[in-house]
Amino acid sequence: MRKYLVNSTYCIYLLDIGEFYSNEAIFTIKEVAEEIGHERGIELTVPLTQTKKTSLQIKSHLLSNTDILLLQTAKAMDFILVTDDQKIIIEANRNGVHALDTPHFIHRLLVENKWAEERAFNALNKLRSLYNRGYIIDKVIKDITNWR
Amino acid sequence: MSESIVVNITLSKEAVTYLDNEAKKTYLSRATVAKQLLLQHIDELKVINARRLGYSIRKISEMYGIDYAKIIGILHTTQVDAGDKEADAYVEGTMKKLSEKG
Repeated sequence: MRKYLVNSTYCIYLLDIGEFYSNEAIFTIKEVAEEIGHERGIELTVPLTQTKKTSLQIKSHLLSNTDILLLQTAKAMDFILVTDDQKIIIEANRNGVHALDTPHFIHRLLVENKWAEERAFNALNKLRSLYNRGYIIDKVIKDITNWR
Repeated sequence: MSESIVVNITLSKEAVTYLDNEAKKTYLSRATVAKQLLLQHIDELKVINARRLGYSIRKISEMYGIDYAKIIGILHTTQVDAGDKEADAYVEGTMKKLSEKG
C-alpha cells in the first residue's frame, strides 16, 4: 500500500474547510502534530511515524529543521510527501522524494476510492477561498473531469 | 521585550475617513486600526520578500515570529507562490508516476 507523509499545510487547509481526513496510509511526524496543536488547539488524529535521518542535497538555510525532517523521513521510508510549500517541493524534486500538494492529493484519494467524487469537488471548491495557488484548484478540477 | 516607538504620520483625508469607518465598525480607536493595518502590511511584505528569496513557510515563521497559519493566509491573499513552474511540474510528474504504477 502506498503511504503518504503529510505536512501542516494539508492539515490546516482540510481542517479549515471542515474536510479533515486521514487513514491507515497517511502519516505525519510529531513536530507537525505539535505545530497543529499549537495553531489550532486540537490533537491531530493522524498516525505518527518515527523521523529518519538520511543525507539530502539541500539549501538548508532556506528550510526549518522540521522541513528537513519531513524530507528525510519521506525519502528514507519511501513515503509520498504531501505539502503545499513549494520551497519544500523544490527540494523534494532535487532529492528524489515524491511530492504532491493538497489538491492533487485529493485527486489521488478519489483515484484510490477513498473519497467520492462529490466530496472531492466540494473540498476543492471550498479550498479555492484559502489556497495559495488558485489556478491549481482549477487544474485539478479539470483533471478529475477528464479522468472520470 | 522589544521597545515601542511613537511614530507620527500624516495621511490623506480619504485614508483617515477609511480608518474612522473601520474603527466604528470594530469598536476600536483610529490609531489601533491604523496600527493593525500597518503591521499586517509589514507582515505581508516580509512574507513576500522571504518567499521570493526561497524560504519555506516554516522557516519564515521562525525568522519573523509570524504564525504558520497566518503565513498560509498571506500566501492566499497575495498569491505570491503562483507560477512556480518547477514545483508545479514536479507535482504533475509525481501524479503521472503514481498513475502509471496504478
